[in-house]
Amino acid sequence: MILVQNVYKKFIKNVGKKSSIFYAVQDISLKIEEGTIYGILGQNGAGKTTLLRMISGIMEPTKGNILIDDSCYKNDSENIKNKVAFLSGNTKLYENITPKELLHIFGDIYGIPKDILNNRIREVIGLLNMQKFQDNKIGNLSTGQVQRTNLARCFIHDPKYYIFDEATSGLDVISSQIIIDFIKEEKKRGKTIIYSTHYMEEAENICDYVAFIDHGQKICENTPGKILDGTKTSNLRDAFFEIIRGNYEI
Amino acid sequence: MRFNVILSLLKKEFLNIIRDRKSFLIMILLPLLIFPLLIGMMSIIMTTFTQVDDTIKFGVNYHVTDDFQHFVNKYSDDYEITIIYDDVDSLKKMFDNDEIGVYVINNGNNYELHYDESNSSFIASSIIVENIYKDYRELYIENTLNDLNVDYQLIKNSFNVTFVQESVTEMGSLIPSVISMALIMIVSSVCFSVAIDVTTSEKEKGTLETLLSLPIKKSELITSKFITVFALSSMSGILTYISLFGTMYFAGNTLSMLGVSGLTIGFKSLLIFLIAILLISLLFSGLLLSITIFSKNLKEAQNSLYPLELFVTLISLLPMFGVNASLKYALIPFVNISLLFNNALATNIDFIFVILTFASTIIYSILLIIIISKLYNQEDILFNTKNMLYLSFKNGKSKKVYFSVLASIFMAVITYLLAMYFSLIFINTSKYFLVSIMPFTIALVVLVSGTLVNFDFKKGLKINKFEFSKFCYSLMMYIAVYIIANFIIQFVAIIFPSVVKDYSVFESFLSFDNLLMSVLVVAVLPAISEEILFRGVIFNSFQKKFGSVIAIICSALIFGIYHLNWLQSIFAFILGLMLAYTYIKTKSLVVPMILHFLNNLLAVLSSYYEIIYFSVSIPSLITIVIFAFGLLILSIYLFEIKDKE
Repeated sequence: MILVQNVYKKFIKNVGKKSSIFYAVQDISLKIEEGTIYGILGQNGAGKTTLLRMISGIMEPTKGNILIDDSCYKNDSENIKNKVAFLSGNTKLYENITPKELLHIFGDIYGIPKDILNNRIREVIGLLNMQKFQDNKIGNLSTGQVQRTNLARCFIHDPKYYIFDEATSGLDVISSQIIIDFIKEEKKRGKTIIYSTHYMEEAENICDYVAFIDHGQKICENTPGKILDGTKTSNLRDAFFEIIRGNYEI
Repeated sequence: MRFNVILSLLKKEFLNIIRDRKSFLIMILLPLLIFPLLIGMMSIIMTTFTQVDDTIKFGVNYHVTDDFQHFVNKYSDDYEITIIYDDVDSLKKMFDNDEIGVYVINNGNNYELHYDESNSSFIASSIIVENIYKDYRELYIENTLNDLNVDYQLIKNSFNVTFVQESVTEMGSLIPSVISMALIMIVSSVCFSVAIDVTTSEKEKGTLETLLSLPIKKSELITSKFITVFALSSMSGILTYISLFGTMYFAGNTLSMLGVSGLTIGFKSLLIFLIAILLISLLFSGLLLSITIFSKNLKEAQNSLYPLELFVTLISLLPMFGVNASLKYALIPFVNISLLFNNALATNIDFIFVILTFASTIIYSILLIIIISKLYNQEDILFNTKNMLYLSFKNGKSKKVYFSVLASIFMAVITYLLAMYFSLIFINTSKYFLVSIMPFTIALVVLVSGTLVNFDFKKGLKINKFEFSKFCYSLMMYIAVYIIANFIIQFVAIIFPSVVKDYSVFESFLSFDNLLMSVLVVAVLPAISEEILFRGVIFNSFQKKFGSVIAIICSALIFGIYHLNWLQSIFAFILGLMLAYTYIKTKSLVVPMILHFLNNLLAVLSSYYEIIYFSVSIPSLITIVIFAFGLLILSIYLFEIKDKE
C-alpha cells in the first residue's frame, strides 16, 4: 500500500533578478490500495510529475511523508526502489546500447542473479514482442519501439508498484495500446499502478480510482463512476471542467 | 558502495560512449595519429628551411678587385659562386625577380648588403655572402696591419669571445612545448566530450530521472561517472603518449635532423610524463563533471565550457613563452601540470616540484569530488528547477555544524596557500602581473568558500549607509590601534631580531617607481578585496555559527596568518580585530575598507617618501602608548553610547 501524507513540494523560481517561492505540490494526501489502478489527472503544469517523482523517490518532499509498505525513502531507499518501477513518457534511452544489453545492465543493477536474469529477459522480450529489434541500437529504433524497451526495463525486476508518468504521450494508437494492455495485464497479476495522464478518456477506461489535481492541490478523489454520478456528466473531461469551475464539491 | 552496481553502471557508460563513432575518433584515432602527423609536418617545414643551395649568385655595383675574386674562389670548393656586375637599378630589378638573393652597393668605404629575410629560398646565400664580406674585412685588416709591421694575431688573441650553448631541455624549447600542448589539448577535449555525455545528455534525454528511480546510491552514481570520465580521458592521454614516444623511437632519423635526439629520454622522464597525464585527467574529470551538471542541454554545456577551453589553451602555451617549472607555480592548478610536462623533458628534473604538483592536484581533485557530491544532492540542479549556484547541507543539524567547521578550515587553508604563494611571487615576479591576478584570485576564493558555507552574498556584502559619527569613532579607534600595534611589533622586533629580515622583503615590495601604481596595488585593491573576504565572508559566516566574539578573533587570526611574516601577521591580527569590530558597529563594509585603505596608504607613502620614524625617548613613548589606550577606550565607550541611543 502506498500512503501519501500531507506532502508539499517547494520550488524557487527565478523571475528576472528576483526569486520567488511557489509550491508545485500542496498538501496532497493519497491512499493507494494494492491491486488497483490509480489515475492522477490534471492539466500540464498541475504538479502531476512532481508528485509522481516524489512517490518514486526521485525527489524528496519539502514537507510530509510518503510511505510504501510502511517504510519511507529516507530510511530504506534501496529496498523500496527495488519494488517500484518508474516510467516517464518523455524519457529517451542510451542511443548506442541495444535493448538486450540494456535489460542485462538494469537487471544487474536490480541485483537479479545471472541465470534467473537470462530467463527473465527472454520472457520479457517475448511478452513485449521485442524479438525483431532486440539487437539493434536504441538510437535506430522508432518512438514506439523505444517506449516498449522502456517498458521492458521497468518490468525486468517484476516490481510490485508501477508509476507511469504520461507514459502514452506522444505515442501512436498502437503503441499506446500496448502500454494500456500491459497495465491491465499487470493489474490482473495483482500489481498496483499509479498512472498520470492528461488524456481523460484513457483514464476513464482503466482506472479504479481517480484524483484530479489542479495548481498543486488535490481537488477531487473517487472512482470514475461516482465522479460521473456526482457531477451528472457523461465523461471525465466534462466532470473535470465542472469541478474546476467550482460547480460541484465531492 | 556496492562494487557490482558500479560495474554495471560503468558498463552502461562505456558501451554508450565507445560505440559512438565521433567519440571513437576523438578518443582513439586522434591521439594515435596526432604525433606522427605533427612530426611529419614539422620535418617537412624544417627541411625546407634548412635546405642549402650550392649555387650562390650575388650582384655588385662596383668592380671587384683581383684580391677579392681570389678570396671568393676559396669558397668554391663548397659552393658555386657567381658575382654579377651591374648598376644599382638593374641589380634591384634582378633582386625583385628572385634571380639573385643578395646585392652589394659600394659607397666609398662602406659596403651595403641588401637581402630579404622573409625570402626563404635565399636565406643560405645571404648568410654566406655576409660571411664572405666579414672574412674579407678581417683579411683586409690583417694585411693592412702587416704592412705597418704590426702583429695582427697578437691583437686578435688578446680579446676572445666564445659562445657556449646551454639549453634547459634536451630538445630546445619548441618541441617540449608542442608536446605538452598537444597532450593537454587531447586530454581536455576528450574530458569535455565524455563529461557532457555522462551528465548533460543524461539530463537532456531524461535518463537521469530513470537512474534516480533505480536502487542506486548517489555515491555509486558519482563514482561510476567519475571513473568513466577519468578512465577515458587518461586512456586517450596514454594513447597520445604511446604514439608520441613510439614516433620518437621509430622516426629517430627525422627527429635528429630537427635537432632532437629521440632516444635519450630516460625512464624518469617517461614516468613523470605518465604521472602528468593521469593528474591532468583527474583534475579535468572533477572540474568538468561539476560544471556540466549545471547545464540543461548540449548547447548550454558547450557555451559554459568554452571559456574554460580557451583558458586551458592559454595555459598549455605557457612553456612556449619561456615560463619554467619553479616552486612558485607548483600550487597553481593546471599551470603546474603544464609545466610538469615541460619539466619531464628537462635535463634536471625538479623532484620537489613534481611532488608538490602531485599532492596539490590530488587535494584539488578531492575537493572537486566533494563539491560534485554536494551538487548531486541538489534537486534544483539535477532537475533545473532553479538556475543558480547554491549548495546546502541538508542532512540534519549535526552535519550542518560539521560542514561549516570544515568549510571554515578549508577557507583558512586556501587563504593560507594563497598568501604563501603570493609571498613567493613577491620576491621576483612582475608586480604588474600580481596586480592583475590578485583581485581575481580573491574573488574566486570568496565565491568558492562563500558557496561552501552557504553564504548569503546579497545580505552579507551589502554596502549599507553608515553614520558619520560612527565613522569618526572608527577613525579614532584606528589611530589608537595603529600606535599600539606598532608598539607591539617594535617590541617583538627587539626580542626576536631575526623576524625583521622577512619584513624588509615585504617592504621592498611596497616600492613601485610610480606612486599612483603603488597606491592602486598596495592600498586600493587589497582594501576592497581583502575586506570582502575577511570581514564579508569569513567574519559573517563565523558570526552566524559561533557568535560575534569568536568570529572577531577567528577572522583576525586568519587575516593575520594570511600576511605570512611574523611582524606583518601580528600587526594584521590586531588590525583585524579592530576592523571586525568597526564592521559590527557600523554594519557596513565601507568603513573597514576605508580604514584598511588608509592603513596601507600610510605604508606606501612612508616608504615612497622614505620617512624615517623618529626615535623617541622611553618616557615619551610610555606617554604615547597610554594616550593610545585612552583613545581606544574612549572610542569603544563612544560606540557603546551611540548604540544605546
